[in-house]
Amino acid sequence: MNDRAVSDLGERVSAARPNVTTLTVYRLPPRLRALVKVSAVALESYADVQVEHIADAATIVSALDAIARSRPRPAHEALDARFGLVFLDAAGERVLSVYKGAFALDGQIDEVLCEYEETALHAWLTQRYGV
Amino acid sequence: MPDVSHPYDPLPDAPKDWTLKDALAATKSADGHFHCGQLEFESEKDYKSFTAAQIDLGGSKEQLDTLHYIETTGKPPRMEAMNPPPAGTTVDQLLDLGNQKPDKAGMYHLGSLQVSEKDYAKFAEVQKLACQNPEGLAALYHLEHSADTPPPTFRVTPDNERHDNYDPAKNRINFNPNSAVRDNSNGALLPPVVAVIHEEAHWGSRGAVLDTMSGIPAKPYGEMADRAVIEGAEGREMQRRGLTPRHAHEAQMIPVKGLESTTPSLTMQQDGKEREITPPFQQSGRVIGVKDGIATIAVRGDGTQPEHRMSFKVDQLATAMGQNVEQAEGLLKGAMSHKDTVTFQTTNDGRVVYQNPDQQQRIHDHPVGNIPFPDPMTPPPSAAQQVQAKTPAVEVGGR
Repeated sequence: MNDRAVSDLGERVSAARPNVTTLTVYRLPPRLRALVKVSAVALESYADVQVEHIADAATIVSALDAIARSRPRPAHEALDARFGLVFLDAAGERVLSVYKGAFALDGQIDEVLCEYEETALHAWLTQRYGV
Repeated sequence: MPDVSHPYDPLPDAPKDWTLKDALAATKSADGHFHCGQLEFESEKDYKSFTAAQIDLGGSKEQLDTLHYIETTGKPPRMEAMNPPPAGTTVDQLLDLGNQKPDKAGMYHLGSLQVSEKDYAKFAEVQKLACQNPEGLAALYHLEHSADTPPPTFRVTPDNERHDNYDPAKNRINFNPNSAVRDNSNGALLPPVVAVIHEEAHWGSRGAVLDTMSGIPAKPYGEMADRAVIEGAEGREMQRRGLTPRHAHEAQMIPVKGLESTTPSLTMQQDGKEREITPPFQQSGRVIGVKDGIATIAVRGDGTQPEHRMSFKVDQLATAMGQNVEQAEGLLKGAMSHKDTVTFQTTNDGRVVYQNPDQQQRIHDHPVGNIPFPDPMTPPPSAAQQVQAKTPAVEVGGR
């Protein structure tokens, strides 16, 4: 995925939407103190990560809508991941992975770091998880 | 909460007429950042998160004193050592299991501190090293004399969870004995034992000051709470060991062997056997596979040895190269798609220099614009690869 794909997140979400059947949310517990910034790759291996598997279509659609409304631009600062939203297809393959960091702006889409200009995703996470 | 530890310097009183409203009042600069005194928030959302969290805390005197200190100095309160244990306390006493058998859950109880039977040996080994520092001894003593609910737990993480942290919800310290930390901003290397001092300091510093600091950004230290520990207990331990303290929370976990080691370990699979790579080591070959965290290199026979394959764990290789895993994977996949011949060479201190002369040649031939790809189906290089392509060789991690 390249920088252009980051700015076309809406298109990526549209392309992924018909294939998504489940959403796995990874969340580090609030106030967990990590020795170093947590990368998206490391997030899923954390011992104390909270995992939620969501199959409810309405919830998945609301997450996709929030992501589609989040306008990201490429960034180069390492993410301090707190949330990972991994969308899977019926075969359990990843269709889209979106990560959010400790602060409102930072994030990652698949393997590309980004900074969210509009953070509907942040609002969705706040509403759902009270962060 | 440990009532015997006082980890922060007493803070000066905030002015009497200074309220939470004053503390949260901000100005907005031309770049869109929000400023509360010397505190800076890069976005309105970060600022709003901060205000919401502070309002939730209720505006106690400790909170206001902490905010006033942070907003006037731009830094967290200085973290002090926990109160020392009673005179004569030794680490051997604190680690003594007596005739204890593990409970039904497989846990030993050292006073209030719980450690599993499986983790006890490594826990004891690292505590003996950590307790050479009086701060480490004080921390262990307080962990064992805590009134916390739930009681504190010390867990040794396996290598597939290569990280250290403190989770206040579970009151659990997670420690990986085979991971050191490299701060790429200043080259600082923290041996695994320092992580124990760091995480125990997080445990011992809970309270209103820490709650107030949580969520307040302190680049490049992460949050104010992280900066307090990095500059406090961790910094003092690094100084005690004669090591350069780190200055950033953005750092890399690197695999090492030994609780006091900072030398990256690198293993490879050859002929179905795993072996440690020790300098001097140099191999050239083509990357023929990068999958499931394993990179496979085909090495051409040269008369002294037949053609063979070597496999590396990408995370180990990335560490030794001074890259993060994604960057290293990008380099290796790029080399694979171009069928480049790459060279890995270890330095005497265990770092790996990665060279890709074929890629250099392409950059030389096409100094501007996109680098042509042999296969139109091959995806373009990532930004990380493009940045990396400008560097002739990777050599990071010097002392």
